[in-house]
Amino acid sequence: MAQTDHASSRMNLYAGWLTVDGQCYPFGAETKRRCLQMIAQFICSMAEKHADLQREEPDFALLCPYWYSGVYISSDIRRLASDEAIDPDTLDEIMQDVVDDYLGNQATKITAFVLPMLVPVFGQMVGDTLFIAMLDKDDDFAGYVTTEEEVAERWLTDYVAQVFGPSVGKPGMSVDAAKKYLKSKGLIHICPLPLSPNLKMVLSLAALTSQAA
Amino acid sequence: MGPEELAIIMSPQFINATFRAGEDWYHSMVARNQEARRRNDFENANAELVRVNHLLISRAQEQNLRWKRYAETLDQRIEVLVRQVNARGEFGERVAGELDVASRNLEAMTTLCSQKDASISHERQKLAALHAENEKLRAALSAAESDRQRLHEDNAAFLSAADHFEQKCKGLKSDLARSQQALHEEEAEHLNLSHDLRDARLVNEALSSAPLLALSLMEQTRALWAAQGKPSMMENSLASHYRVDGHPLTVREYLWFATLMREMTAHNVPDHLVSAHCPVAQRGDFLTRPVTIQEKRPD
Repeated sequence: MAQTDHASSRMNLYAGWLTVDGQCYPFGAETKRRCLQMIAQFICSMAEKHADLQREEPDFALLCPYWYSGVYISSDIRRLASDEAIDPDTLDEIMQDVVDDYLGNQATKITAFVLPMLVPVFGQMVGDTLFIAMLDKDDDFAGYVTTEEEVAERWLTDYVAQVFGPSVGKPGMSVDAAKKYLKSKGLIHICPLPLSPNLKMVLSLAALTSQAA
Repeated sequence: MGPEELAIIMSPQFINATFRAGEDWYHSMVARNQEARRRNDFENANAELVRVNHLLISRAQEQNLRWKRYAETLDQRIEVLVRQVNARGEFGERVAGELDVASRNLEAMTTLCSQKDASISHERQKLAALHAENEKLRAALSAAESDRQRLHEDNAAFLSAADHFEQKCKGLKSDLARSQQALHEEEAEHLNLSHDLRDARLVNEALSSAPLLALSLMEQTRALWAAQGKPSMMENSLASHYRVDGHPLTVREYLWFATLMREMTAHNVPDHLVSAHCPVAQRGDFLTRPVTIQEKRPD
């Protein structure tokens, strides 16, 4: 993941995402464990939705597979989704098993995982949410977390023109051209970054304004 | 008449033929007369025969009528006779039937009598046996009476012994109840202690993970303030969150208690212990209430 302009004074967080049926679902948290917990809980909620659909509309669930169909819950996923303390050294190993399981199974619509990594947050204006720009193609991916959507868009434009475009032989490539180029092979996406409760608190404190200041 | 005709009439053949014809005529006339006479005789005989026939028939009819009448009277007499014979037959049968029944009754009575004889003799034997048994029972009764007397005495002795034991047993039971009560109390105490121990462990886990986490969250907050060019507001007092004693929390304290509460919830720490470690007012919506800073009045 792009970590240019890294400064120790910047806020940083663990961000990761998974791609389901051609759509990115990113998550941000203060620790890797918490971020993995968010990803695992999301997978559990997909399985629950699918089970609900199968219970309420079995014919529909069968004939019109919803985006979460094919997701199943393993004991590892359940463990990651719980509050159980897990040895940080085994965390990567457990998650890698989960990822291999899903990606190796043709029936699930989960097609990509970006495991949580520590990234800085760019931008000066702090609102009530953070944004993430993502570019994902096969084993190549890049992400950029910002406090403002415009900053994320700017980064994405630069990245496509200066890094991604040249890598596929098209320097100066536009974001739209990259989207067409990646159609069904990868994706480019900017969206608000869902945060853990602790990071939501940090954002709300960051937005405080001191009258004395 | 010519000579030819005369010659013819005078010829012998003519004369013979004329004679023969006269003869034939004569004979036929005689025969016819005879026939007529004969026919007349027949008719007379016939008429006579018819008359006689009629007579015979009418006589026969009369005779017939007479026979018929006689036969009718004969029938009536026969009918009467038949009725009489039948009546006698039925009577005979009835008498025979009654005789049959009577004979059967007699047979049954005879059998019954012989059975009665047998049962009377059997009853006599039984009576004799009962007499004998009665004698035996009387002897046994008197023996039992003396046994009863003895048992009664024994029983009184046992009763007083049982009374004694019961008293002892009661004492032991109340000892047992006291011991069990004590045991229950010990167990409850032990359970409480083990719950306390488990809770203490959970609190300990939360307390050991929370500080590092809170420190890093403070760093993140400071970094965001710095990115916006804001000074640190860690020591500012809040207008939205207070301690239980009514003192306003600083941003730093808020961040600490909020982080600790989430850690304790994640570790399933019981509510009373969360409350003990996070002495804040209105804990129910502590984490969801919007955070505001007190306005500092210029001095």
